Amino acid sequence: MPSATYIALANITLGGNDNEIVFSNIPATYRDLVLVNNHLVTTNSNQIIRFNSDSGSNYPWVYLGANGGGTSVSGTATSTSLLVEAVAASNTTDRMTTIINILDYSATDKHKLALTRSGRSGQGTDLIGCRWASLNAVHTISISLNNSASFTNGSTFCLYGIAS
Amino acid sequence: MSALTVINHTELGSASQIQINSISGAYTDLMIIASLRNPTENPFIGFRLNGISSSIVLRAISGDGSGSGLGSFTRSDDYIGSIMHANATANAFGTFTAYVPNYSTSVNKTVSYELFGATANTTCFQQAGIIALPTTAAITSLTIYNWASTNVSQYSSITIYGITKGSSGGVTVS
Repeated sequence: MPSATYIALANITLGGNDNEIVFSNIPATYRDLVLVNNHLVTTNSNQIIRFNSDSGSNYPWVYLGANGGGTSVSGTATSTSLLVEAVAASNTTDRMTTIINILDYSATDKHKLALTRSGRSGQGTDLIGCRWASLNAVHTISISLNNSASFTNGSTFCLYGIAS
Repeated sequence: MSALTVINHTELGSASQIQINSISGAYTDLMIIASLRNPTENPFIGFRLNGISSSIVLRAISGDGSGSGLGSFTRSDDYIGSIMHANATANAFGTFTAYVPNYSTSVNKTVSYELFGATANTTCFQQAGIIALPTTAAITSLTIYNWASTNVSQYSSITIYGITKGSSGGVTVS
């Protein structure tokens, strides 16, 4: 009998505003993780995603984005979070969708790669590649915002494990 | 238990548009993977959910492998990009993937998608975009078609997966 390879690990639908979502106790029994966020925020802010509460400068990333009128590229070697992207709060219906594939998250002999596709129709589409410079298996993922903003009621965050 | 369930797989026996109706609302998200080619010289592909073809907001990035080919576009209809067509290498099909979170709940619907195609033997395009649909209704139908002349090629195919959220393995979230 074939084995299931795409396993739902945890999810949350916010019943009120919240400024930080934390997935914890992630077992090292899968090969990759997939994180799917579909959310709104209260005020303009940047999204901050970190592994294992690591706030060091261990998240080099490159960014490619488009807003419908032009493209932009950027990168940094010293970021203190997996991903820093704009999350605008221009209205209450234009939800942002972020899908992150976290590769080899449980490996202890390599740094972790995260490939992100993120977008909001009022803003644009982003493609981001990031490396977490750590040999530790990812056991905790935190998703927060860089100011006093909050994710709003009804925002959803789902985590899946991909078996090898 | 797998979070991934095949809802529908369809391969065209002859040139036609791809039309899937009565999509079950039993899942959390939808993931769509399609193999597509246009039988005419028109490369454009249309992607329609619940029959909606206007008041859409799409923002996408595209590239053809050269720096000068990097582009950005926005649309307000159901056009999503270019795919292999009659002048492309024979038997070559493009790939379209889409992810629709919370497709069956009453939130405003968004689609994250990627499309790879080629309009001639040596010219390839890759696009990635976000689509906002002017609806909070559950997604129940899907159409993929040649944006200019309706039909996509024989052997074009689509697989629709339902993704079910859940919890397992002791992972907690708060």
